[in-house]
Amino acid sequence: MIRPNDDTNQTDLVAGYILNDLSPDEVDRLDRALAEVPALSGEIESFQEAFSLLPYDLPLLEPSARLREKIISAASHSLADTSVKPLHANVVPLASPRRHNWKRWIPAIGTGIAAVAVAALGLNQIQLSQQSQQTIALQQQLEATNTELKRLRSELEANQGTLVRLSQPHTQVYALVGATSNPKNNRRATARLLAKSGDPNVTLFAQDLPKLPNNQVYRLWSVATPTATPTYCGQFRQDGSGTAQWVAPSAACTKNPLKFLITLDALTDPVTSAGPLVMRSST
Amino acid sequence: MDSMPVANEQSTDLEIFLAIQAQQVKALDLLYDRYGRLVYSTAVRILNSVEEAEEVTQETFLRLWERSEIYQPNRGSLSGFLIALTRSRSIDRLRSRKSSQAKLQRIKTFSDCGSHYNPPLEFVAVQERSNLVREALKQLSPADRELLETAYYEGLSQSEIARRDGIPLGTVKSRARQALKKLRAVLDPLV
Repeated sequence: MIRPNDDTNQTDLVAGYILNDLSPDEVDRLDRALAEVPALSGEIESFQEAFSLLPYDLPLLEPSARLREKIISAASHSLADTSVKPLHANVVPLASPRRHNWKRWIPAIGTGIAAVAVAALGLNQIQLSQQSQQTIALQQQLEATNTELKRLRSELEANQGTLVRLSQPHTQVYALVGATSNPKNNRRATARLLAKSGDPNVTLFAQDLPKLPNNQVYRLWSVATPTATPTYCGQFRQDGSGTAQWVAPSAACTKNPLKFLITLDALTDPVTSAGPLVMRSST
Repeated sequence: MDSMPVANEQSTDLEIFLAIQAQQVKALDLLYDRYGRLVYSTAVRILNSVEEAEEVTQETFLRLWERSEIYQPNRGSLSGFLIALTRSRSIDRLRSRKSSQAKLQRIKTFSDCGSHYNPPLEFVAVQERSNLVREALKQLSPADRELLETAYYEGLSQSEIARRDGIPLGTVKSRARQALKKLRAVLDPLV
């Protein structure tokens, strides 16, 4: 981390700021100091972090088990509530709301079919076995349809996010190529990275990028100028379709960098240094 | 489509946060496992009320769940953010119990400044952090330590502490700042 020169007065102002005891004059001085030495904001964050560590000295108390249930239940409910809403208000849903509503009727249809089958059983004992089998088969079919609908829906929602990003002005698409060939198929990995200046969200679509074991991750780095040190821009593992989405930890990552690099790192490696180069974008 | 990375017990705080952003309930559960007791204990210390502390703990975790954009990973550790949010909410409640006071004046410039802050804190286990903080606090005099704790847990301004303890304001300010600077210096490897 970059620390400004150890100026006693400035450090004193920073400590006072964290303690909320600056006089108006000191506020002005700190404002000026921040304008002159932007790295001083890192000092403020460092002091804030140190101050926030105080509770680690407290004896840890165990909250009631009910509290966890309440939190998780509220989170799950909020998920259920938002899942029926479109991702963005300005996106026209590709499927009409009526189709979504139709899905709700699937259990009712299933129940109806079962009811019909049960009625048939009462009328004719001979048909009992045949109808039961048909009902089970229909229910299995409905369950499979339901699962498929859920999968398609989640895929659609995920793709809507990408479509929205692509349609946004100023979204940059960076092409990345593997540093070496994949020994399994002798092909170099390729990837497209979507980034927009001022937006920390990063999306990557990769092909032939090897899947990683649990203890390894890929890390993205941005390089602002030919002589600049790479900036850490988050880590990822791509999913089955080669896609990964995450939030870059620094605004500098998406601010029209000269190039992007992808390295292979252990999950426990510090983000202050990079592992072996895996992919790079063309400058 | 799965959001990456998938969080598990071995995940870093950042990975858990990314999974929370992707609305994975399991990630929230993992975060609660990791910091629920710390958040709750902080709230109990400030509010001295189990009931209110549970409410603040719930608000804190759900706030992050519902509005994950309020945490910026480049501005500090996730645990520090959770504790700061807990403290802020708890002190707000404490103040509303007493009387309405002027809210903390924050310098606009601070929020405008970008930085590339990546605390090494997340690479240290929670228990180890406790040990390091305890050792660091031992290096302060009991009076200075109490001064910092009063400022932190009771949310009192330096003038309020000076009035309450009958100490000149200049002395309180100077001692508190020196104590915080010393604490920061001792905890430097973590922050």
